Amino acid sequence: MTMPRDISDASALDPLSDDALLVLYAKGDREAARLLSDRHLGRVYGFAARLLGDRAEAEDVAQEAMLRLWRVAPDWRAGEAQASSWLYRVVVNLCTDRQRAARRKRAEALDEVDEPADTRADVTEAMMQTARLNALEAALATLPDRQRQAVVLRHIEGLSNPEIAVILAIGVEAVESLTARGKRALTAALADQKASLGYEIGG
Amino acid sequence: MDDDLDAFFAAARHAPPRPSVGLQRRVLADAEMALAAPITPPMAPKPAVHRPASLWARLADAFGGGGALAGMMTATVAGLYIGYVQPSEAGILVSALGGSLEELDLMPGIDALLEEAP
Repeated sequence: MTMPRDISDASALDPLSDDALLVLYAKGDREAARLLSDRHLGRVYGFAARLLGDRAEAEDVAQEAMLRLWRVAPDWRAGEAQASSWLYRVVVNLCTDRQRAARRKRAEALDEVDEPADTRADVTEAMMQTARLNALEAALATLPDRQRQAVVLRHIEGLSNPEIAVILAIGVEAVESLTARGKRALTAALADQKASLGYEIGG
Repeated sequence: MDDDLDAFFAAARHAPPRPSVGLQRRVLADAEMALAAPITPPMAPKPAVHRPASLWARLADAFGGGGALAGMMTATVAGLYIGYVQPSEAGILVSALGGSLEELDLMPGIDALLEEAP
């Protein structure tokens, strides 16, 4: 009797590439699926949350993106694309679809964005960080979709401009333009919140 | 401007949204489900390719199918053979078919048809 791989030698899969794990998963290896989920789900969910500003919707998008990875596994072409870039691209497309569908409700959605927490006077560093996060989330929500995608990929996910160009299916110069305009818009949006936050933007 | 924003980006990088345990379970359940019931993308219907019928196909259709055309071809070849061979060789053919050759009229006239019936 043979022991299933996902019980017998789970740690043996750790060094494998995503391409190799996708091949194993397509052949029925559950442990490969768990490892792929460990590697990518956090990034996929975090990216979706930054783009959508809504955790519940981000969970739906992340689940759908991972489901597409499972379904494409039997046809995955090793070396053609990185799984992480492929997933970023799927998330961008899913978020864009949702945002287009919800555009007519944009006004109400913006009203529902939480106000930044009051962090005046004796705020601790942790509270300051939370305030910055809230402020950034609110400011990101004011950006056009493409600018938000480019800014998040560049400055929060830490990708290079050529990587972003592949994910967004645009040129590198267009990426530079989007991030530059996005950062200008973010600075303006954050400046508006400066007084209520009680500290300088650069603080 | 970059410095102004860096503190915000750093805060975001420092505290990435974490997927819930429920989401992780659902994702792995999806992986299981996809293995159990793989959904192959629907095959795109092949575009209809309009190819003009071949000469042979059109001839076959005109004469009632390939079988009929084959029979006609056999008869044509036999006719050509009879027309080109010497009469003595035609006689061999006729005797081989079980008959006898007294006269071979390769260009029969139509006089018989023009004669009035008595």
